[in-house]
Amino acid sequence: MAKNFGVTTEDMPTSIQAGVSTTEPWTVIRHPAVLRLSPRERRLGNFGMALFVISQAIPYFVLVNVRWMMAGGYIPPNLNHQLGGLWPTILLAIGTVLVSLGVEANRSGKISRLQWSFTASVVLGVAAIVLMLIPLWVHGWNTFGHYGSIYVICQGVAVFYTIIAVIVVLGVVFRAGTGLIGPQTSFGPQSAAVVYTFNAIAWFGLYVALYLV
Amino acid sequence: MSSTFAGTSESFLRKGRRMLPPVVRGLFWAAIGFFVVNTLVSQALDRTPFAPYVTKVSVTFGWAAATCGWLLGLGAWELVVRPYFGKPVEWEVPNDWRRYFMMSLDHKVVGLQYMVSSVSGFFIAGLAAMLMRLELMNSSLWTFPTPNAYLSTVGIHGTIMMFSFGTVMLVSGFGNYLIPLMIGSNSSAFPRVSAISQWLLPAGIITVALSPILGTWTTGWRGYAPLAEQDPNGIVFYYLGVFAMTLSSLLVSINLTATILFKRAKGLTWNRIPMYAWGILAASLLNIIWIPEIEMTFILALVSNVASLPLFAQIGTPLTYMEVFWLFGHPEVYIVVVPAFALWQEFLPVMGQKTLFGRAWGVLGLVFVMMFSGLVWAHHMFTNMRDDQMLPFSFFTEMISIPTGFAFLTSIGTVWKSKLRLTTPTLLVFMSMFNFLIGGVTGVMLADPVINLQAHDTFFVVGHFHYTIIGAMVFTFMAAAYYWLPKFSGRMYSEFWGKVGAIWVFVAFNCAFGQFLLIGLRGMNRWVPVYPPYLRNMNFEISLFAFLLGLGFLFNLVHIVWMWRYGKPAKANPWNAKTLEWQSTAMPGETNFNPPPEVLTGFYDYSDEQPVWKPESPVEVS
Ligand code: HEM
Ligand SMILES: [Cu+2]
Repeated sequence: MAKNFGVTTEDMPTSIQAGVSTTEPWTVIRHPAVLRLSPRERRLGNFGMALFVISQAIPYFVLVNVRWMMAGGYIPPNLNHQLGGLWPTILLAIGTVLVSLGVEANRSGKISRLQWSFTASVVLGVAAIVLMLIPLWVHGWNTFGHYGSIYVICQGVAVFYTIIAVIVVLGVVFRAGTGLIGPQTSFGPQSAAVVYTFNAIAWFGLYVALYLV
Repeated sequence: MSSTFAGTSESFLRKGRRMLPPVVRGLFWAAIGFFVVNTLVSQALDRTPFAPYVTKVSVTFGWAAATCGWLLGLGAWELVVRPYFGKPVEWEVPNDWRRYFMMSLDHKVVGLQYMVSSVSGFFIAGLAAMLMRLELMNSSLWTFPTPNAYLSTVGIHGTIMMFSFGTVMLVSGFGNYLIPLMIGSNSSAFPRVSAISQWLLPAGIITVALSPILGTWTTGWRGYAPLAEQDPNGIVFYYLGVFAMTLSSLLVSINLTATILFKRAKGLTWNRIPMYAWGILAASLLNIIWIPEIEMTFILALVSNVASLPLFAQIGTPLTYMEVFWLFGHPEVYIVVVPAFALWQEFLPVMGQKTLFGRAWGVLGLVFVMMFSGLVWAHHMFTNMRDDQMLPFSFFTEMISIPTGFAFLTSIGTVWKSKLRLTTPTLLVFMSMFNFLIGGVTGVMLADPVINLQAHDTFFVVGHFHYTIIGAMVFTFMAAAYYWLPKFSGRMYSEFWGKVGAIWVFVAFNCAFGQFLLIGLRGMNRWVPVYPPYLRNMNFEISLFAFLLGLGFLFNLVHIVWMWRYGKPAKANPWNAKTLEWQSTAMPGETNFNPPPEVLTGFYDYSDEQPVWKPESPVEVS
């Protein structure tokens, strides 16, 4: 998501005169999808990612706190601990290992290893999404759901963020396929890995708060 | 938007003249997105017989699809989605009016787009206020068909004012335009982020303004659940619209924070960061923390409404919602005023050509106001608490007046014994300080539980918060608009008409809202279209001043727009300011600084004539 936003001169408007008609009528912005970043631009990118992650961690705090305020420690008996909880957690955990292996592989120039492990983590992510969707789908959506409702919402949020994380990682797979990713352009895989890992950790926290605490 | 660019410039030109601005494509894709997804959800997935074409669920998903289509059509497709999957970035910007109707990577264009959206929001919500005041001229229901219709108008007014103007104009509007300039940069840190976020704002304004299509809602700008569940469906568009508007602010805050920290010119050290940048930094941090918080809350409320879940009712309590709303709600008001404080300290040294007094204290004031703002939320809920719970909140609320005082003291100290030029911006800053003083004093009064329990939900509160918001933020916004008009347009306003406009608004404002305070003490309740007849005369006359105020804002708008086009050409640095934005003459579409500047001293020292910057030497630095 927050990929590729490092600025280069090509992102900036070319200088033209005020009054428009005197010079070219168009400003053309044209550059490859992935640019090499200077060390400062990399730091900027990392900082942007950090702000993004911090801001996205806050909804999870809200969920955990609100869940507690709303449901106390009560776990509804018909909640599916396997499908909606344990399995997605395991799948995302494996995915996290895979993305970080991919980042490492990219650093040493093994692009096909990167593609393989990122693709695998996408597949695991999709599987996790499906497993979380099943309890959502079979849940009775009515006002009598009582204590189940807050769990269902937490799961919906997790599905949403997992979808985002999967798309983010998928983009890297595509870009690596066009030969744009390499050891010099490692910000892409790295930031995608951060998003994926963040999602997995956040879900894990939510899972612990939902089912175990 | 073809992806090939092989033709000669001539054929390009022909295409150029014919090209419709991408906003048209955005509208089209939004419409398609809505119809496809709405139909899918309401007809294919939901098989309830005889269900209407648009249901609460389908409109929610349809709206999300429409918003995506809108953003993609405006340029996110070429600028973000395609490059993300490996295609080269190809984006052609016509250098004419059309560049304002598409996503722009130029922070100055984005700033102007934000200003126009935000001012439009102000006048749409202002129209709602005029309708409310019209209704209140009589003690019976005489203009609105139902009390619910009136309450929806109150909600639309408050929501659009807060989320599209109060928190947006000074941060996203002026911030996007001026912050990169003021720190000597040629662009913001993440130009594509602001390019996208700007177009969420009009989407949000339109959504909230159109909420009556779905039905009325009676919760006001706070969207209280579970109260909302009793209403027809308008509240769905409240949640969705506010989501779009707050997301817009969140993205801008991330971008501007990174800009200030990473895009500073050489030599612009921490102790030289402009006051306005400090203000934006403080407000942005509040946005980054509290906007995700409130968005999650709104999503809980929305889901619980749309999917008929019992959140905040059988599960949790109405107090749960109030708590999470006001956790955000009070910092929200500091997102509104902190940039305004910073602007006082920006304008007064320039207008007096005198060094900013106690600069460090000014910065500390901004930062402490920001930090305290998270400790006071429950002063909105005194009527729902035990006595012993009130004390800390009362205490911290009153404590905020201390760092706020710093903002006043640095401003007054700067003016002290300076050769102040009494221009329109100066005048407006003084008016702003006066108004905010009243807003602040009534605020300290309300922080006292004894008074609060009496005045809660009366027009005394309404008077108080309009004094803070209009008083501090809107008046300072007007000062900023006059101050930077020569920067934006290269033209000068008329000093005479500017002062007429300022005095007009000041008098009308105080006559209207001063009486809000008084009529509140006499027993006028909030959120009522109907009231006891003994209050009628006073309400009637308040409304007249409110209309006068509305006309006054319109007058200032016309003046500024007129002078933007026809004003006398202004000098490049008409106020003789030292800050960097005046050292560049770049108009939208042009590069700010070429070569980049190198800062030599702070910007607020007017005791000597030393240059504040020089062009950076061409040696490459990374
Ligand atoms: C043209 C000048 C304005 C007038 C005449 C005006 C008038 C009013 C009135 C009559 C109410 C309803 C009070 C009630 O019954 O509770 C109200 C509410 C409100 N106004 Fe304004 N207003 C103006 C400008 C503004 C501005 C500039 C802002 C913020 C930037 C603002 C923010 C609010 C908010 C947040 C509410 C509360 C809405 C709610 O209770 O949900 N107003 N205003
Ligand atoms: Cu407050």
